[in-house]
Amino acid sequence: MFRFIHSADWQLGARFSQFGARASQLREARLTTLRRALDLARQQAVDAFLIAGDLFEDNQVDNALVTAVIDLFRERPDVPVYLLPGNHDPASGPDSIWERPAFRNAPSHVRVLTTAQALDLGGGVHLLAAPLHQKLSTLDPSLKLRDLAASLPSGTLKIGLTHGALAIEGKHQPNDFPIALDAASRAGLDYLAIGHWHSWISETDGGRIVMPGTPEPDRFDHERCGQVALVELAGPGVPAKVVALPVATLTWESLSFDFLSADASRSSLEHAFNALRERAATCVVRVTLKGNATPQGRRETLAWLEGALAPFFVSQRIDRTALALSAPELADLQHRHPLLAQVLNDIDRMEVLATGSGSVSLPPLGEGTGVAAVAPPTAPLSLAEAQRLLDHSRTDLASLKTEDFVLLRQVLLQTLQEVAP
Amino acid sequence: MILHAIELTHVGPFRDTVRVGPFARGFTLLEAPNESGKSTAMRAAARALFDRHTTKSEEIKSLQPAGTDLAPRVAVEFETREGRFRIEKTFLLSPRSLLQRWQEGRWQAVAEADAADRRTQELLESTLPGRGATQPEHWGFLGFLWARQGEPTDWPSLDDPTVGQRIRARLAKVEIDPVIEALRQKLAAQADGLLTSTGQAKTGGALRQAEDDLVSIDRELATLRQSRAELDLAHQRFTRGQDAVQTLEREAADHEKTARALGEQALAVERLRGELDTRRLEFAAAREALSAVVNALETVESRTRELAAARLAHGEAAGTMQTQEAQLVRVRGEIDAQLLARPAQEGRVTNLRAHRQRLQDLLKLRELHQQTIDLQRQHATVEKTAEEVTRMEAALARLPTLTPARLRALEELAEALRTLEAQTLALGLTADLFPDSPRRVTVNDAGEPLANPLPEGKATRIQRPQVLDLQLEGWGRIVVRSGAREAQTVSADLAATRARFQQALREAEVASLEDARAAVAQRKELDLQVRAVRTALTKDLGSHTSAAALLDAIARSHRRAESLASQLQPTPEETARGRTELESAEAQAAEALPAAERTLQVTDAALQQLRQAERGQSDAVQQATRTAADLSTRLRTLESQVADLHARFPEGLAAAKAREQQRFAEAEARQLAATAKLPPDHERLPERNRRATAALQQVQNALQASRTERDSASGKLESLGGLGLYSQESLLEERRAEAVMRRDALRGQAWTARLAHDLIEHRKQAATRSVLAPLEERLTEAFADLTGVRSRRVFLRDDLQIQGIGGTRDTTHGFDVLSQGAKEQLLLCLRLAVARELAASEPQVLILDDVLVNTDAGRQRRVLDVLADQAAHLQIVLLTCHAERYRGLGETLRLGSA
Ligand SMILES: [Mn+2]
Repeated sequence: MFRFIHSADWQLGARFSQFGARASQLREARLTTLRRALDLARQQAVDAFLIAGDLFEDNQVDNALVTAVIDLFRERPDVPVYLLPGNHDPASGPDSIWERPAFRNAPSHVRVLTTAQALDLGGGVHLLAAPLHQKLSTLDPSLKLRDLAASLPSGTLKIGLTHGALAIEGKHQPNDFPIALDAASRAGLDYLAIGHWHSWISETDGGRIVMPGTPEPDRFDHERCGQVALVELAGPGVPAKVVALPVATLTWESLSFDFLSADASRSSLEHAFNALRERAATCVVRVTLKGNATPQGRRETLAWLEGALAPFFVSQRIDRTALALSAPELADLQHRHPLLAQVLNDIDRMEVLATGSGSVSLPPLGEGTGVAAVAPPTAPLSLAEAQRLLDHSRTDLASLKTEDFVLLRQVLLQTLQEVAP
Repeated sequence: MILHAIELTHVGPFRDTVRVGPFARGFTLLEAPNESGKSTAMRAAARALFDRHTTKSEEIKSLQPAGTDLAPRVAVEFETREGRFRIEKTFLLSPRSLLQRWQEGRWQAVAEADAADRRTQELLESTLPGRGATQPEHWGFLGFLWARQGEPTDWPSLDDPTVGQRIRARLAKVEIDPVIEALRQKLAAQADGLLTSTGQAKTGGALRQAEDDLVSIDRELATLRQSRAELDLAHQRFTRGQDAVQTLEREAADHEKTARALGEQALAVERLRGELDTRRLEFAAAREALSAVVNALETVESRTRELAAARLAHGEAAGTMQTQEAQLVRVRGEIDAQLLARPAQEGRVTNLRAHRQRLQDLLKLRELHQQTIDLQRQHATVEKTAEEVTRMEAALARLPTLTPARLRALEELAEALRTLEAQTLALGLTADLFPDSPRRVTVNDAGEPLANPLPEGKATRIQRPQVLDLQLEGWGRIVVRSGAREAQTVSADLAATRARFQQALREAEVASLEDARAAVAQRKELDLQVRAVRTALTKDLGSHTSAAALLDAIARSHRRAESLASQLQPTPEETARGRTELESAEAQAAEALPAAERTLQVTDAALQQLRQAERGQSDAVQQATRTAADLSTRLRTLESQVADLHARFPEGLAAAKAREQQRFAEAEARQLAATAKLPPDHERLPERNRRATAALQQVQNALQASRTERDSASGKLESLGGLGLYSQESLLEERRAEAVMRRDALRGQAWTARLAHDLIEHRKQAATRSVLAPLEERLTEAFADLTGVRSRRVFLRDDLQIQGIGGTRDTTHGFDVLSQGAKEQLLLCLRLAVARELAASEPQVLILDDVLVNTDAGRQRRVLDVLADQAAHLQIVLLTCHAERYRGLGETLRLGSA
């Protein structure tokens, strides 16, 4: 019996531009996960820890990261590690990450398989590796495994190791190292450990080909990831026993707040935050605000959210709120500040000119509000006038989108509240 | 605000207290002649209403009565919607301010000093300038409603944020909304903090900062991407290099095999060629030997012929040699004869030359002696004249140094002295003393001494300019004084002139004026004499510059004579010979010398010719000897050559020739056999071999280059690969994303604030424009009422200033080009319109200070109609010196009626 951990696509050193300065914390979390997976392997007393490509996001990540990874391996000499270069970290030459001093001087239980080879792991078990040497190729990397297997005696346990997309019609790019769906049986392998896609797939080729997915999720709404595979092979020809072990450090939660039903939204959000409270320190949370809000309501909600989001590891707020006044507020505004009512009309008009449609913030003057228009009737803003006004801030009317007008109204009404609370 | 009364003290023409008022609620005519102070009174009222009581500006000082330091005091009684007030201000000296209010039937103090000023300002909604006196724009509504004398067409700007804007809003019937105004200002502040007026990011602003940050991040990113591109390039180089190395290694192996095979073929051919070369050498040797025998035969024959000819020539050469030797002996005899005659001729020439030289030197010596004597004589004369010069110059030095100009000054001083003395006499005091008996008299001043005692019965005259102070013996002191001022001056002049005269004499070193005159005459005489003697001395010196130079010349002449004499050592006979005798002897010697010299030259020429002939003959003898010797040598050589050739072929020349011909034929056959053994293309083999080697070398070179290239790329990759470029780029990208968000947020804030502000501004202007037409309508009507002309419209600009009048907006006559009268009338209409608008919320006064000076009598009537109508709604105060024009309109106040 041969037991091992099969993982892939750690993508260490990956970039998270949208999170700015907090991105480094997200990168840090991936190392924590790797440590956890190695510790798990140790507990399980596995015979091998396979990494089926893309341990690193790029060949050009910094040395500190490489050293940190080697240190994790070094600290666990009883876990034999087999590393396969993938398309993100191919064995492409002297610039490949595997040629760094840290890897060249790696401890002996860490094997980097930079050439196609069959390793005799002892006890009639062979590990056949087909590493990648470049970022793109239309060739099936498992073909090499077939050649390697042909030269091995039958009756031994053969485990394949390579990296690429499953050649499922319409689901892969032709130059993305397509692996035939019968690659394991074709080559006479008992198990083919692959990596590349970030979700768990374990049913291919009668369960002989397994793609474990990324051990650490890297975006919101990511399914079937955050695990490694624990594999047990009883002997040649016996189907593998594969168990998914969860190892992820962070959870990614995407929530929303709709001003259409502000109270309901708030209580459901509060509920969600409570549920997440215990893992807030390892939770990446995003709240999307939408719907029409009054300036007052929006301000209060933002203030509340700021406090509520504070305990989370990383939080992100996306504001898609449109600012709206209630009918009485509008009537009051028209009555007290007729000129401002005209300006809001002008903004509506501008939005129509710019986008072809508009969210009209004011009903026609004097209509439905029960209040007669105070300001004398005025001509609507012309296209030339609109562009002339925008020239003053070097803004092009045609480039303006609906959200720009939302912002414009927000600024106007927000400032109004500041000068006349 | 409306006016009730004005009280003035110490203002302009009013030295006492003057009260102007009470003003009617409707129309009041303030009548007074020109320059009587009615405008001054109104100006003073404005100062009391609007200026700080402590101000010391020129406008306040101009209120003071002309030529006085009196403190102007002004009190104004006025009414606002808050009630009736009295402000009283005293300016300049001990300034005071007191505001009172009419309550319970009496004036009660409201505030004093600065507080009074402030409260009044609030009541009148006026403002204050930073410093100095207020201007109409500070006067609140009154700034607009007061048509000042001489400035009836002045109309303040409506752009100032307080009064002007308020009036503008009232005219346009637009309410000023303070919230919107605050909103507009806040938006402007927000936009202006981030953008320039042209919409660019403002230096120092947060937006600009964000943009700059982004630029700097992008710059870093570009650098990093450059490195990344280098890495990619190096990677390509490495891959290419690696491929090339593999290809070339295979190629090199192929070339090596080819080169080896060719090398073996070439070696075999090389051996065959070696054998052929040996056969060729043998063949060449045989040919050589044959040709040597043939040559020897030919040489023996030609040498035998040459030997006979040489023997004949040798005989001829011996004869020639003997003839030439005889000739040489003859020439040498002639030379010896000439050499014998030459010494005597040469001796004669030398003697003649020495003799002549001595005669010339003797003559020179004579001449030098004579020259010395002449110079000594000349020197004696010079000595005498020089003594004369010295003597005269001494006499001149003894005279005082007095120039004629100086003498003239002395003369003038003496003359002045005389004149002044005469004046003194004429002016001063003269006392003639006739004592009965000799008396002692002392004059108590430092004047001239008197004979003491004075002679009796004789007049002694004492003269003094002013005071005569005498001590009379036996009588006492007498002091006589003159009151004449002139005498004083003359006497002072006299003393001064006398002192100057004495000083001048001292400076000239003479005792008196006469002495001075004599000295000047004597000096002139002596000067003439000295000049004459100096001229004589110059003549005596001749070409010499001085007596010393002359003495030098004598010494030089004497030295030369001495030196010549010691060289010649003349005999007594020579010394005794006369000069003429010496000169004729020298002439004789000069004639004899050339003949002797010519004889010697002839002999020398003959000798030279003979020596040349001797050299020629000697050469001919040697030539003949050599020719004979050469011929003899040649004979011996030829004889030995012929003998040698015969000795080399002992078997005989013909037999040797037959043997060598046989050997030649055999060698030729062997060489042909060797040539036939070589392969047909053996000539191309070395070239092919060389090519194969070169090709191999080239491939190896290329292989080496590719390895170097691959290794260099590999080195570059190793160094760049360890930099962690991707991680660095990630950090920058993440920073960039943040900067972009910040920039976009600020940009959003900026343009939205600016646009919101501009929209408010745009709507304000649109509101103004919308009321322009009705306002123009009202003004047009009022202007037509005033002028009686109904065909013209009044047009306003967007800022509510009058644009002009005319048929249509495009054909208006601009306000600036209108007649003064039309301008006055238009402004009157505008003021009336404004006053009426303002009066709706508070009573208003309209002050017209002599404004309709340019309006003709016909229009005047219509003006009266309009004013009469308006007086029902407004307080109108009209200042004029033509009261008759406004009779019957309302109250008339005369200035001065308290
Ligand atoms: Mn991959």
